[in-house]
Amino acid sequence: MDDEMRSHIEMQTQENIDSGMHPDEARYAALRQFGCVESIKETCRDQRGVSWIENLGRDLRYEARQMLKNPGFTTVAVLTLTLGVGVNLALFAMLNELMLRPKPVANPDELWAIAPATAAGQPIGFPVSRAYYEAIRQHPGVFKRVIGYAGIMPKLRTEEGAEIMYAELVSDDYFSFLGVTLALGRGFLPEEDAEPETHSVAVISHAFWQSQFGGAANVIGSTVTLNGKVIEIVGVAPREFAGLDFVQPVLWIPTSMEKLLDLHPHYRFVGRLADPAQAETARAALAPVVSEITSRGMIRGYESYGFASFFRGVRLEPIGRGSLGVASNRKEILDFLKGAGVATVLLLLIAGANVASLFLARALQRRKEMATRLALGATRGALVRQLVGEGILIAALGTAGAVLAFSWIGGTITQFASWWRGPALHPVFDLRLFIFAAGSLLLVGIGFSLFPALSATNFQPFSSLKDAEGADGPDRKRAWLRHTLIVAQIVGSLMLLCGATLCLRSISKQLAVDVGFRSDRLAIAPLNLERIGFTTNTVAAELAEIARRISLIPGVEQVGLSISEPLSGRYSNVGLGELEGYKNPEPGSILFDYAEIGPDVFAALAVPVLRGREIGHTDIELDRRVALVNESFVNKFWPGQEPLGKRVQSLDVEVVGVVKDVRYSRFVTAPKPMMFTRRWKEGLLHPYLLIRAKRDPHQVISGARTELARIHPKLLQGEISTLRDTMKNALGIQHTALRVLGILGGLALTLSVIGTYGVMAYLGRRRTREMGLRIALGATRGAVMKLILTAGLRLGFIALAIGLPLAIGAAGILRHQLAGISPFDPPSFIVVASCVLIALICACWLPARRAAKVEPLETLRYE
Amino acid sequence: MLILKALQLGSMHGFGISVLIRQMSREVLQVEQGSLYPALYRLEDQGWIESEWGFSDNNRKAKFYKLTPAGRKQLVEERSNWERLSAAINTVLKTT
Repeated sequence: MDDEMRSHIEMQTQENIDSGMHPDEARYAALRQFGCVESIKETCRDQRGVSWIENLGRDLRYEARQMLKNPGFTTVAVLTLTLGVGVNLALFAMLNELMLRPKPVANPDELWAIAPATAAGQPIGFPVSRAYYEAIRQHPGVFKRVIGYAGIMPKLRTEEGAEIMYAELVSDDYFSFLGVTLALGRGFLPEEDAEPETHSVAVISHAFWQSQFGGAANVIGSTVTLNGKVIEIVGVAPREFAGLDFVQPVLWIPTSMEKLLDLHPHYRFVGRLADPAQAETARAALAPVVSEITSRGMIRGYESYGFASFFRGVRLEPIGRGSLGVASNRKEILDFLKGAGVATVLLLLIAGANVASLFLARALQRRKEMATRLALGATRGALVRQLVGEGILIAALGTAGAVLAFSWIGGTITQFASWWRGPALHPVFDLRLFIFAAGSLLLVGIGFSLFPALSATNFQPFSSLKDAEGADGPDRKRAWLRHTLIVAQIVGSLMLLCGATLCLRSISKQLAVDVGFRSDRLAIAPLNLERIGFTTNTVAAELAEIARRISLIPGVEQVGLSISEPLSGRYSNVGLGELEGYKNPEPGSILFDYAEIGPDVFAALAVPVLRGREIGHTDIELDRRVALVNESFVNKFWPGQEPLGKRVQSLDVEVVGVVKDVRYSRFVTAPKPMMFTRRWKEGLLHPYLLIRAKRDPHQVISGARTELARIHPKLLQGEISTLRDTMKNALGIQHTALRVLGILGGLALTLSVIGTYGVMAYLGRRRTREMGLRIALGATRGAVMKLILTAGLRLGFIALAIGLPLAIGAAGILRHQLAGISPFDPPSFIVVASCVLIALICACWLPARRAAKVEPLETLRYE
Repeated sequence: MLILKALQLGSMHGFGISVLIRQMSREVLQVEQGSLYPALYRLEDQGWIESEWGFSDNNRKAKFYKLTPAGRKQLVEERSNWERLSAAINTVLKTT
């Protein structure tokens, strides 16, 4: 194209010369006649319709070159976006896993969970028996078919001992109803479910097949032993199917085996509805069925789990998508997700604002280049397109980084939510996630480069070319964009950090509560003696031996064994019909808390035994059923009586000691009357080893771990943690919220500091001439520094003025998560505000110093 | 259309086309040289003319354009359209 036009101009020049013009004049005339070569070229290119791909390719190459020329800028921008997009991606992955991803069954959106509820539709957490299950199966109403499944915890015999695992009792048509094709073998036959106690068959999960049988092809026909009964394997489930619920079962057995295995399952039901609009009719149709069966009261043979008369209705929930299902803490999890969602979006906005201001600064640096190109005929649209293209490219790199980091992120999510008692979440990168990533890429890339691009190319070319480094008029107007970005970033960081600080204070307040004993020196080790072959008959001696060996470790002061975990936040209470020595003034059961413990628990906790004695190893050997009670118990039920020696008939225990009141199970409530019993033999197979250290519990943890491993490598089940960790886990969601907000807030502040530094550095450089002039005119360097610092601080104060009210308002969201402090807690906000200001000052410091160190002669000469 | 007509006489380079159009219209139409090339590119893109590099009469390298068969057909069509249109305009103008 160049050649062609050049030759045309030369020919025109020649003609002009031939008609008598002076050669130079001829050339000028030819050029004038032709017009602006560059813009004509541009128009020619536009005429060629096919050129948009060529344009794109050329733009991309240009943008890539630009990015490589500025490695610092590119790195910071890409990393910032990786962070912002990555965190959002992780959260969306969690959301996807919990609520969006369809289960690997046929037509998942047709599946509805049917849960027992009151007539008004409130779900009830009580177990329902087989009679209920049969009634719903026979009268499904609007549902064509209903299947039932129940989670059970039988004991599986392993090579060395026995282990409790999670399995499910299911209807015979479970697999065909869900449309799951088995990898090997077959599902259940109707007769296997119909007659109880005749068939013993099971379908095992894919994971179990791999781990226990090594994926052997001849697994069909092999057997497993559950609760002492031999069961034949008839099928293997496909890899992607892992049950309908949150926890993944190891195997499935037909419901008829309920009695065979001596189980008391809690049934759940699933039905199919072709059309979601039928849900209400379906529910109404089931209500009379449920009503009828529950009105019969206790069913013979199923007394151990009965009905309440208020189970009159059912509740329907779609469960085809996500693994959350009808979990009991569904609302809690959803609230957490909502909160986390807000926080991560804030972080993305801050990251984006950061990148936007970086873009703006750089685009402004290239103003001369832009001006020249515009003067030479490039269209503003083309320039903006290129700048936005750079933005998208950087966003693409950032998203690619986020995707790469994805698998690492998945692991950290479940580690974070330490209260998450479910299985580890393995977010899968499926189509939804891909669309989300692509969408956020475009949004971020375009959103945060468009405005700076438009802003940077909007000017009269000549004024910029003339004006080298001074501040010019139009730039003032554009300053508000830069300043808004910084202020927005600081506001965002402020909000996140305030949230984190509130959580922190709330948690410290709660952890600091006086539980009645020294909770800071204890380590807890969960043990599993059953899986290494011990039974209730042989466990007593072993426990004594373990306690003895651990107590010999240097640094250990005292060892105890308990069946219940202290300060876990979980508690049990018991209601008795009658209690010896106590006349119940009100109707109803006599209630008190209780916990099952073992030998030397109170010695380990350093809680004084006021009267009588602790439980000892001999009690376990001789299987004496004994108990201790606390002071409140004595004061409430046996005032003025001798507690030692009292027998509680319904629990079959004898009271042997009285302990001081402490908060044993829950540390958020004051101690209530409580009994500590030793009567459940089975519990001894899964005790908690309590180790009190002389000083710091962390020092004894590794020693204990080694010693336990020496006794048996599989003795320890899980991790040894300190009691403080248990308490933190008990605080559940609050602790997670703290970690999430804290980390995000820290990141946000770092980003804001980087952004502020970048902009202040740029401003400093732009005003070197002004600074040089000031210094030459007699200003001190300190005054110059103050100038820049105040510019930065002004922004900071504006940010505080906007941000603090917002943060206080947002704190309202956290209201029901915080205990012990009000959401409008002045110290928290003051501390955060000061931190933010200090960070800002640090960010402005270096640029200010650099601007002040300027030599006036140099800058003035540069002009 | 003017370009196509100019090329009917044979293949020509851009400068030659502009000179020819000026001559053919007896100096009435001075094609702005700047808009010549975009038009040439558009016509080439539409497939009515094709180009190849060659040497001009004073041994300068230049791009020469010539009509394609499709272009020839297009010229005939456009010509008849134009004649119809101008006849119609004339009729309207004459009636008053």
